[in-house]
Amino acid sequence: MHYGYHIGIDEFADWLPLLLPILILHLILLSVALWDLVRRDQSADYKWMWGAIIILINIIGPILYFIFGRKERTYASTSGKSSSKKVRKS
Amino acid sequence: MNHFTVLLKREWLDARRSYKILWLPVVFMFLGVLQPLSSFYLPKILKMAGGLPEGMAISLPELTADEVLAGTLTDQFDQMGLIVIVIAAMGIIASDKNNGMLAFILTRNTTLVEYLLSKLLGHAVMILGSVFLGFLTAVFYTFHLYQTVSVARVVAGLGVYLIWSLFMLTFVIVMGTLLARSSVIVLLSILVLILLKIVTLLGGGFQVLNPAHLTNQAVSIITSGNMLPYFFITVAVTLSLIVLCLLFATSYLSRKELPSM
Amino acid sequence: MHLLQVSHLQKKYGSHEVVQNINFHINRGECVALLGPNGAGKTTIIKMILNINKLTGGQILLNGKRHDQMCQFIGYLPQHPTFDPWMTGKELLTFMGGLSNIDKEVLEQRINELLDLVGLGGVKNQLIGTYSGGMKQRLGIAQALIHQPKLLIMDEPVSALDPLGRRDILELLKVIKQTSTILFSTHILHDAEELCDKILIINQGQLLVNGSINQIIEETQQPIFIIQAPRIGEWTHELVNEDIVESIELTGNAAKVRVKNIERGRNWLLRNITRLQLPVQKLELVQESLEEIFIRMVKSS
Repeated sequence: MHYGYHIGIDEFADWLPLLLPILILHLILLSVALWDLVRRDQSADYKWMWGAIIILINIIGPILYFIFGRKERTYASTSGKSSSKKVRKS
Repeated sequence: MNHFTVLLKREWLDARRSYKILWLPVVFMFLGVLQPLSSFYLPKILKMAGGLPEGMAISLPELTADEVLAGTLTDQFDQMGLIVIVIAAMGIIASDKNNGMLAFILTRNTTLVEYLLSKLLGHAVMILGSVFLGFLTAVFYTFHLYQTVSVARVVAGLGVYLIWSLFMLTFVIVMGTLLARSSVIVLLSILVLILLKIVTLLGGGFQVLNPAHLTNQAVSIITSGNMLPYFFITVAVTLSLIVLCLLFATSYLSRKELPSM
Repeated sequence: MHLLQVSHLQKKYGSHEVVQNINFHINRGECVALLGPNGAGKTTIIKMILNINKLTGGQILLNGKRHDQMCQFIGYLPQHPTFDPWMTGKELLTFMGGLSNIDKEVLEQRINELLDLVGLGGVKNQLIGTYSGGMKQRLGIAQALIHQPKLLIMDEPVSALDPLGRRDILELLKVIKQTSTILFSTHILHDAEELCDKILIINQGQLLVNGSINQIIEETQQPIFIIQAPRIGEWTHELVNEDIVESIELTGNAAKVRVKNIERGRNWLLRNITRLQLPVQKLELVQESLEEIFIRMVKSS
């Protein structure tokens, strides 16, 4: 199948300044989302799932993560111990 | 340091920790890019793809720069943008109410007015700022791809649109004071706001009283430089609705006993 | 002047009276427990003192002034303190301190002292979302003490914790008690007995008992005779209807007989034992424990 179009290098150069800002915004969102996900105290499964969403779904993925994915693991324990091993460094 | 500054500081911290300060502007900037880029390149891409199959020739109207900018408001901001605003604001009051922070805050001699205003101001800056940035992006792309439009018209149109945005935010805040579950808040808010939008399509004199009509005003200002009739009435109605919403939220919260905590 | 003076307190929801005509006072330095089963109205009373719920009748005076102008006066720990999970412990205290109009330098120092006091010094820069239930409870206590309140009010401070956490918090409260006036609610008598000088027993919105633990025991304690004999159940029904008897409780071969007056009760009981020729194996006179008083009062009201 041949769709009969191709983008020449000249046209690409025309497009680049327009697409570059989008690309940069996307990369910022992506990296911040991934950075936050990696530091989060969550199970590996959880991280893989959201990692896939963040990377595979352009633009919407990271935003979905920011809205719905930033949940802390909830502890069942109600112990009053002041030292906790599970808490993350920040 | 008075209560209000302390409360605002908390809003600022929340905005940073929840990354709202990052993703809200970015979303609106994307939306701002989308309209000029797709209006400009869609016909070209179709042409490059060898044109449409025969008999399916759709005439794509040649758009002017001001029409593209107006389209950004009606097609992007009033649809995806509206949903994003609602989602960004859904938990503003409800989460404080549910987790007991509101009761904590109120046991410290803080008045409900201070509290609600800090919430409104904090999010208004963020959401209106995002709308502003998004539209600015749209303006840059439009100017680059099409031609320049009178800056005065663009600014005036955007200003009118921001009033409508402020109304949307206030409305979601009120829903947050009335309801507890964020899913319900989101659904009802989107439903009502979209309903207001749809009602504007009907036309008719009562649109003057509809805050959603402000988008049409903004479009008219951008495309023709003139406002539609009864402009100031709609603005006044919207602003008073905002104040009424806040007063209602205050009196409702003060009368309601906070959930057990 | 009392630190807290509650008079004729009443709360109605529609026609349903949740709190009825309650009167009590708290003096400076006292530790008072509000004791009662779940749903007795403890939380409602506390919320009315805090002006979170409005009273429908009566008056609350704090240091002689109307309570709704005295927010700064009280430190409050709710039943299930949950804070913004995205704040760190220190940020929360800074926020609450700021709302209480504390100077920045003073606040900074006070936060550090308090965090050390409640044992959160090591995790003060971690997000509250990562804290365990006990740690949140400790943070709640620190938050309640940040503005150096005259009165610390806690709603079920230990009920939701596991035994270890509960022990920790009780020990902490013993320390705090030395410098503050405390009012706390609980449905567990043991906690009240351990910490408090004074107890208020509440049931169904009514104040049943008000006084120091010793006083309550002295005034309301009823003597109990424990009679142990084979087939005691066959005998007791003959005794139940007597005037002197308060109640008879059967457990296996033993009967707990509560009497209204110890002297007359003893004579009456001995007379009946000989009259009925009860094959007594054991006869004992015991005093009611605080818990038994509590249960009796709650049941009879």
